[in-house]
Amino acid sequence: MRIAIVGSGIMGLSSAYNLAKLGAKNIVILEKEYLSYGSTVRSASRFRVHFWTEENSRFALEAKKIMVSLSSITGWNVLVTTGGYLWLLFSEEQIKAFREKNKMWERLGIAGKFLSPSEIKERYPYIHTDDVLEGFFGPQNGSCFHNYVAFGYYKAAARLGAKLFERSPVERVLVENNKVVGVELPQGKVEADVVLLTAGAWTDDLLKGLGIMLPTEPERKEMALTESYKYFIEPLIIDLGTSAYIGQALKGEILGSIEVPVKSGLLPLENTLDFLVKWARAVYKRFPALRGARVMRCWSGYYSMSADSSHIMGRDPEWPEGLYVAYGDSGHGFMMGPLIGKLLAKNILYGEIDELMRPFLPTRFKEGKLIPEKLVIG
Amino acid sequence: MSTLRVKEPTADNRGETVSIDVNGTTVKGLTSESISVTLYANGIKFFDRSKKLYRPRGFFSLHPQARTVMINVNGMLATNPSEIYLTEGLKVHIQQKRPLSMHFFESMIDTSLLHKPIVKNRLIWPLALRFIANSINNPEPAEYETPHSIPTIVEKADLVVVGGGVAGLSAAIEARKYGLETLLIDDVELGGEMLCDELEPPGMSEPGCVFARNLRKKALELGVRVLSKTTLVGFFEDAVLAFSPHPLGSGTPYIISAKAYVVATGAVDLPCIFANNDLPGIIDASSALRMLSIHGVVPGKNVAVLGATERGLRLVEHLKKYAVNTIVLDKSKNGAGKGDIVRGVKEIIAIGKDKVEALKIKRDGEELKLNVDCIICAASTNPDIKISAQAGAKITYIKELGFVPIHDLFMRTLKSNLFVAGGASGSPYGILHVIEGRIAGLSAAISLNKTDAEAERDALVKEYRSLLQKFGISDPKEKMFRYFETKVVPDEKITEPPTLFCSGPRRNAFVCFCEDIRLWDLYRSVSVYGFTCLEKVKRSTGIGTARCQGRLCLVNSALYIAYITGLSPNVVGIARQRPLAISIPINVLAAMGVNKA
Ligand SMILES: Cc1cc2nc3c(=O)[nH]c(=O)nc-3n(C[C@H](O)[C@H](O)[C@H](O)COP(=O)(O)OP(=O)(O)OC[C@H]3O[C@@H](n4cnc5c(N)ncnc54)[C@H](O)[C@@H]3O)c2cc1C
Repeated sequence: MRIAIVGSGIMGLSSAYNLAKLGAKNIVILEKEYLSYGSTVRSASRFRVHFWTEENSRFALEAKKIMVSLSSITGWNVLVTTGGYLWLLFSEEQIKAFREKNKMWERLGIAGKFLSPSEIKERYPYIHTDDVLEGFFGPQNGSCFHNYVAFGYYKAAARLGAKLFERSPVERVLVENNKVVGVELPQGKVEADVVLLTAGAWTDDLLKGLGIMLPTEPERKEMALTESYKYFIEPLIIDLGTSAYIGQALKGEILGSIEVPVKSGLLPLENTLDFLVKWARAVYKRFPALRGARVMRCWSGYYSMSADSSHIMGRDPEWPEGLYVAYGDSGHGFMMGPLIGKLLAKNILYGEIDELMRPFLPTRFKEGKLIPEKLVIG
Repeated sequence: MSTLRVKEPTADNRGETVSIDVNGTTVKGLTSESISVTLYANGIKFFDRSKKLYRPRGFFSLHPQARTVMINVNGMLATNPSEIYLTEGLKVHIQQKRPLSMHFFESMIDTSLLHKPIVKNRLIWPLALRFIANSINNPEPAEYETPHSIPTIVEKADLVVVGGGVAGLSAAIEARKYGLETLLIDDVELGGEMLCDELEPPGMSEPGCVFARNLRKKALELGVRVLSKTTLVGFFEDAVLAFSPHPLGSGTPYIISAKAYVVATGAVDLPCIFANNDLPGIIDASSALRMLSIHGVVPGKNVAVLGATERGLRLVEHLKKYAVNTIVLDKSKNGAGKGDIVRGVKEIIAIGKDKVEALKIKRDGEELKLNVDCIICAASTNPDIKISAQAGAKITYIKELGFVPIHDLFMRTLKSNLFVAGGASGSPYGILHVIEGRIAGLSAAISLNKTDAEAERDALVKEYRSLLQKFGISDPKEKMFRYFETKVVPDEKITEPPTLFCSGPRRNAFVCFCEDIRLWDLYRSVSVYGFTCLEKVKRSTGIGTARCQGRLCLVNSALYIAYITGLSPNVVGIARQRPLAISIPINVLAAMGVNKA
């Protein structure tokens, strides 16, 4: 079986690795720019297990298990930290909703902890808590270094024979007799029996070329990063009042983002001062200790947003035979990636649909079985 | 302490004498000097310890964007000493100790080993990681009383010229002559590098400093508006931002809006790469020249200049005027140039405990040792592309010019209403900078419908050509002009990079001073992991991601990778230039009025 994977982000690379590990030969990864050009290396590289829906929480829990042991799988230390996630809550409604959800999380063995403002202050003295009603702390959550996750997967897949072709933009998927036969590039044609679209935010266009319409669209998200300071912010802190979040990388940079009104579509990967100032204002208010911290750089990347903010994986039986997707991950695809690749590989090779994977099939939209995920960050 | 002051600073650049406190002792300096210059003049070269390896560091370059070293000023950590000018009573604290534990943990924070699962046990790992994170020599965020409000200034103009060297000044003058509202932004002061040149630049009949001073006067007389000691920090989608780090502790943000831009940000001296090239006392040619001519401070008593380039040899002439002993070291076996030039140098090793004290030189079957107190890197420059690339110019590598914004004879880039000139466009120093600047200014005027400027521009293009003929050189930009027309990326191969004075991938030859990334790290990224494009090497080593935003390291890295892989630098590529050019405190950004422009 010849397999063409379009896109070398975490989805493509973890799928390639898992396919190769299960013995698939003839795997090519086609990447329009260079290895992991897309969102994967532009992300905040955090993982969590707390999601609004049970489906996502269960999925994330399994994905995390792979993520934290990735070093022994790929040979690249992915620098796992477990500083947790801290949500700052500002209204009774938010508190009620989190308490409700915590029952579900408790059932899954991932209960979090509610912290009073004074407990927050005690643990994280750098947070301004006067207007905070309560905090929800998820100690199971953490971070790992996205670059080494991606490079590790790539190296492991390459060792097993998968081949990467950079600067190879796929223009369309070729279909004959309702069966994929390959993909077309400016350089020529690549024949394949299976085409897996893991082109992140760019997947929509490739699907549209086949007349397939799924409710997804790219949204540009911006990030800002400060100079390096002593490592002191362990958790990722999400301010639900302003929607801003911050976290600190091990090297010392403090990074974060805030939601700004966006026009969807593949906007140029540039930055706006509007974003930067809004983020700075939120940080100024919430973290007085960071007022003198200097912002060094900003960048942007795409979230591939789906209608229910949950990822899409697998295929619709009505599609041409051999066509698979993994995208639409709505800003939390990095953490799901390791499991998506693993389950998808089994799906492609053996037709197996894992129980964890079933809810995320692309058919859910026409069947009306959405997974309305509300806990989207950024 | 020995003083390196040899003459009075130039009259228009002499501030008042003030005293500052450095680690408890009083040091005298002038208000016209940045902290870096004052310390250096007083023989203090060692400012801080580096981030990961705790190596002693001083400044490599005085340029505000080359933030290789940070110090504690008035209790504010992480302050760039080249950016802050002296005021009476300033308190400077210099960190000079290295924690004992660092001897033990050095290898754990070694960039190119970090991805190796050294600590396999998953339970221990988070603890180890926390330990590693804590041992990185990072400052606490500077905590200070924040001013109540920091006004944002909105500046509108027809034309904004970035960079106030002779190219930028000439562009501004021409544009002004045709009636354009012109704003000139410079991060130091008007006059640029030619202001530091006491000799006659190529093609000119008066000393560079005299010419630059007159040009400056003329620009001001014609009504060019000026923001000095202000850095253009970023082209955002919705605004252009500039920032002046003064007053200390807050600074002033500017929102700039203009119909056209001329980028004349000059060239960057590339650090030379050799063993212990990070020692205090190793500086770039432009800082040496600036200290000498503007501030009257010699860079040392016994100085080695790397590179018998036009630039290196001019510098030597300056130094000799002030009785500095100089020796020039060059890689090529033969070449022009008189005086003390050691040729055929294969490898250099700097020696010294916390500043350079000596130099070991290896060449064919021979090893020399010299006692020097300063090493100056003058082997190669590259156009400063930070701003032009952000503004939308396309960057490519051309062997004769370096990584350069593609432009045509009229100094137009591939982006409309964006022009480049001078060192920022890769042209050789001297009169050509002036002519190019004028052409760029006229092109800007023409783009804003002052079509009567065309005749003058055509005449200047002719003059440019005939000057090249007079100098007897072929146009170094020919290949690029062709690229501008055909859009076919040139396939350039490079031999050994001019800045490389090192025979192997040494672990003590630094490419990035901010993050302690060595030749060895780059080499491993290429040879062990097989990464050959700079974006990937950047993401596996961290090169170009720290404070100076790749100003000093990216070009060297790209050329080195091209050299060891045999690929064209255009395949290796140069990493994307993102805002901001210098970092801005959160409190300043938070106080900004948004989208008023
Ligand atoms: C600012 C930001 C912060 C984030 N933070 C987090 C976080 O903390 N945690 C988390 O889990 N997730 C986070 N995410 C989301 C996460 O980055 C993505 O969900 C994930 O990386 C998606 O991986 P991917 O492989 O699907 O897509 P990508 O990484 O985007 O990869 C797609 C690849 O396909 C290539 N491609 C596109 N079109 C073609 C074509 N036609 N031919 C060939 N190649 C093509 C692209 O060049 C790209 O390399 C964040 C995202 C952003 C933007």
